[in-house]
Amino acid sequence: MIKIEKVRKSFGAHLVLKDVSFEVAKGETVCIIGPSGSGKSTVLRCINRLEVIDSGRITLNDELIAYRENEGRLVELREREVLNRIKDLGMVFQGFNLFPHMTVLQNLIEAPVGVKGEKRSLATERGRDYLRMVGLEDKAEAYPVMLSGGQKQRVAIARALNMEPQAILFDEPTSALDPENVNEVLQVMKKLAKGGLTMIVVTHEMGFAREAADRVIFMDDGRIVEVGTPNEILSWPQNARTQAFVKSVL
Amino acid sequence: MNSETIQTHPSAPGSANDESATYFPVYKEKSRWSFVVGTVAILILAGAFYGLVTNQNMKWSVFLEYLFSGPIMSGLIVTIELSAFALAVGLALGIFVALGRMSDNIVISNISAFYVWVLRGLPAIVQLLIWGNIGLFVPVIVLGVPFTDIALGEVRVATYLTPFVASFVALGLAESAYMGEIIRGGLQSIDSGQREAAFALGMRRGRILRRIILPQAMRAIVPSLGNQFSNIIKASALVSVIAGGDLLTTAQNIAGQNYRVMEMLFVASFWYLAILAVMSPVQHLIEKRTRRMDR
Ligand SMILES: Nc1ncnc2c1ncn2[C@@H]1O[C@H](COP(=O)(O)OP(=O)(O)OP(=O)(O)O)[C@@H](O)[C@H]1O
Ligand SMILES: [Mg+2]
Repeated sequence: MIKIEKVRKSFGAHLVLKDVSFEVAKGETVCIIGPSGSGKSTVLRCINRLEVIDSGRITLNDELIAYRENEGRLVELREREVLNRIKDLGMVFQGFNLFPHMTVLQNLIEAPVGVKGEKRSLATERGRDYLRMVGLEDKAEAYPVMLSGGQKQRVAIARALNMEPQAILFDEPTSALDPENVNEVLQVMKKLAKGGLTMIVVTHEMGFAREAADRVIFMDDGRIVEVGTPNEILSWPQNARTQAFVKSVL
Repeated sequence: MNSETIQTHPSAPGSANDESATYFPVYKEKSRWSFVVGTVAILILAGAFYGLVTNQNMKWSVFLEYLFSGPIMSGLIVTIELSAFALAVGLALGIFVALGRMSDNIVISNISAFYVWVLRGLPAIVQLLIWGNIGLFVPVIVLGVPFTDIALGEVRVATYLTPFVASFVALGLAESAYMGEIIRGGLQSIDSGQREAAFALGMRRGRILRRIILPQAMRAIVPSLGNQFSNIIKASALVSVIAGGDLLTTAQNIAGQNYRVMEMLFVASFWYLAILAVMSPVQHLIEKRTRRMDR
């Protein structure tokens, strides 16, 4: 469903992604692991056009997400067209990025109503369902400041879900959390993975990768080094760099 | 200590309290000099106040007579109106100035920077004089496409740019430069994650600004609005050079007739301070409300 082909991305002279290619099928959960600075976040940010790529193709259901091809060049689409595709891709950030001036429920319905033009009552009703799913139905009227880190991240997940995206990208969703809050977020994510949501998850949580991922991608220095099932990557890594990394985190 | 027991591990030495020792509260010794300095300060103030009140040249009856008089009251109202309009102009233009300075378009951002540089650089009184006299130099403005003969209509400047309008336009424009910088600071203080999250939800630039960035930036901006308003109130005293009707000009006009200059200046001073005194609790209230749902 999401296809990344030979994506190259540099910041100034620093080449951060060196011809990265992989594919994610519908309903699949793919975990991306790798050392700090290897380009994991950059991959996700390129997929939903938070970063502009140098070259390559990124498609959602075989449609280019932010560009169109024209005489051998990629031409940027207009804002409206880009956003029209972006809205089908949810994103959950390490730092939650909830809107602090809105209540939890307002956070959830802002985009469905404002972007998709849904009826407020409909978006609210579904929003409450998602809040129930993440275990926070009693926090609908709370402001983000009153929530713990784990609760904030669960709200962020519910906010992404309430746009009814085709896939959600997670960038280290538990890295900013206190240890005792990590599990409540991972539980929700495991439930989503089981429920058939398409997910790309950048994570340092090897336990989660082992349990919930269909495939694990190991990245190092802007390249995909090894891809396999969780068992293959985490228990029987073939590449020396994968072996070293896995050894260091387990 | 109290009766609460602490579970002590045998491997952690020295963590139990010594029950036999006595523990004293901290005693803070006050310096006797602080008393002396305070007393002297009060005496000096009392002396100055006594001198003022009993001064033979100071007719307090005149002060009281004019304090609530009709002309002074209408002057007060003009000053408040002038300042409120100027603040509104400053705020509205300030948003554009801030957006202009943050624009990706290099022409726009440079023009905006130049605008701020000029309007903050020129003394307010010079700007007032320019706006007050502009009708003499540009009697009509022709609306049309520059450097062509296409004209859509013309505006007779003097008809619209009355001294009152010129006053608040001048004050408002000067304020817009300051306001623009304040707003820009507020906008830039918002974490980039907010913009990214909104973008990832499919929101367009204008919508992100309106619904996500501006409401949060306002919380940084609103507290300084009060300060700006008091600055404008004070700056509004300068409008006497082109117009008048304001508090200070009215007071001075009365003084020109009754020769009680000091008394009339005191009347004006009383009202300037009164406005500020009313302002600050309002300002506190607004600050408190804007902070209520802070991160
Ligand atoms: N906006 C930016 N400007 C310049 N360099 C950047 C920028 N964002 C990322 N980089 C660089 O790109 C490289 C990859 O960064 P990225 O954030 O993708 O790594 P990561 O794998 O997510 O690491 P981490 O585990 O620390 O989050 C790093 O060397 C980083 O310094
Ligand atoms: Mg990262």
